[in-house]
Amino acid sequence: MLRQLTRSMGPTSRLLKQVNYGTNAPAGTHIPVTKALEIGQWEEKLKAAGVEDRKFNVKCIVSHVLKQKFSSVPDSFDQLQLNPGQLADFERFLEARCARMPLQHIIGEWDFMDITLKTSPSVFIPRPETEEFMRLVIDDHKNAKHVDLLEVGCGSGAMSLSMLHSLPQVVATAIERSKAATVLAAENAKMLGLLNRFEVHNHTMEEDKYLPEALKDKKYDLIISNPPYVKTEEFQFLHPEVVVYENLNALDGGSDGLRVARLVFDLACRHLRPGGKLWLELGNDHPPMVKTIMNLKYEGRLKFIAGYSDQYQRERFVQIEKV
Amino acid sequence: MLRGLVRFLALPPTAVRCKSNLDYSRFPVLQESDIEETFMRGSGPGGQAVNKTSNCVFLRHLPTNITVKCHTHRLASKNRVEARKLLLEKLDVHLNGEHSIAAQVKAQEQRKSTERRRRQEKLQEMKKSWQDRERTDGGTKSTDKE
Repeated sequence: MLRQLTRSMGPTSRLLKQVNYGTNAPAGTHIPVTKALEIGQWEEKLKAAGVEDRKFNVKCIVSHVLKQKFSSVPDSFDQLQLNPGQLADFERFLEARCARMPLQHIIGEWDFMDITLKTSPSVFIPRPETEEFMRLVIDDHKNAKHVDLLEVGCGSGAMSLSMLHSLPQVVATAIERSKAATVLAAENAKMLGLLNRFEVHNHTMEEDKYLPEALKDKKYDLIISNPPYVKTEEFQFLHPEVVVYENLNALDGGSDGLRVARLVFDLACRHLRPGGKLWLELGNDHPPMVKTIMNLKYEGRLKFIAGYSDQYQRERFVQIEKV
Repeated sequence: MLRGLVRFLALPPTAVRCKSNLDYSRFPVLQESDIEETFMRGSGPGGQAVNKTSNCVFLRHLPTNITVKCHTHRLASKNRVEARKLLLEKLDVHLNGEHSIAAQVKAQEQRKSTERRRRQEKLQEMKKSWQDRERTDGGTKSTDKE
């Protein structure tokens, strides 16, 4: 295969010498990205695997392999060359994508609002709707003097870290049941230089043991959470990227999708200061349900303030206040 | 939510405005209600159940039917902001023509380059006249010696 490739390179070697990116490998062994795509029939393979938005996928992988910023990679790959090592990576990554490994795991990092986070296998990848959610939360607290923040189930740390990144007056504590996610969140905080205002505890929330022993008397001004909210009946519709590569604990919300949210309500009753806020990102039909639950079960303790829509006009976010 | 952002985008920071001598008085304000926003196929709602990575954003300005498409950044959220900037620039050109910021910048650059060329030509001329003078002087000297 490689011999075939190098042979086919003959006539273009003059061009290669002019555009010799990266390493010191002899010019003749480089291969244009367009050619690598064509020879490997990657477009067809990705399509057959059911991968959508293939151009974007390929561009992400190209920018990762060439170690260039995504926005600096041109839409046309005509002028881009891969050396043998890069070509091997390129094909390995595309193969993984055909097996529906999430792009964010292949790249090993992904952006969330203004920060870039490391990703790790089995740790839930933050979704674009969560950016809109955090924009609302950050906007609601931008004028506060000091905010003690608690995040329940922080995963990669995206929500807390983006808030710490935009507001210097916030100090965050997070709990997370997955060990891998706990480690990743701490790593991300360190990488972003936010470790002095962020701590994460490996803890599984249970009735009457909502927070780890060390935090059992702590009170907070704000609790945020994107708890698992996918209903059991919806599990049949999950994408392969999600079923195979993500930890389903981060998604499983029980029969009505609010199993974990209910625990968070009780946690908020004990650990929010009066006037403190609880913000939750939930599924499509949840905000009206939450409103009903608040009125029926939490009167005098928690008050439903409002529901908000995500960028696709679906009402999915709720704001609750501690009375 | 983006409404606040758009208002912020409407004008460049004051510092920039003061430094440049561009006239921003006509620069349009983008009304979020005038915009129709569409996301790339394969994007759209999903939440936890779906892992979407599409980044492409389309905007249509309903009153003028101007469209922009943006996929510069990896994140759709960043492209949403970027697309609004692009739309504003296009709208400015559409509404204000030669008074638009783009036209003003172009005119300014043209003025600068004309000025540069003029100076260069002047310098060349001076050099040439000096050379001519030297040559004639030198010529006279050498004839003197003979």
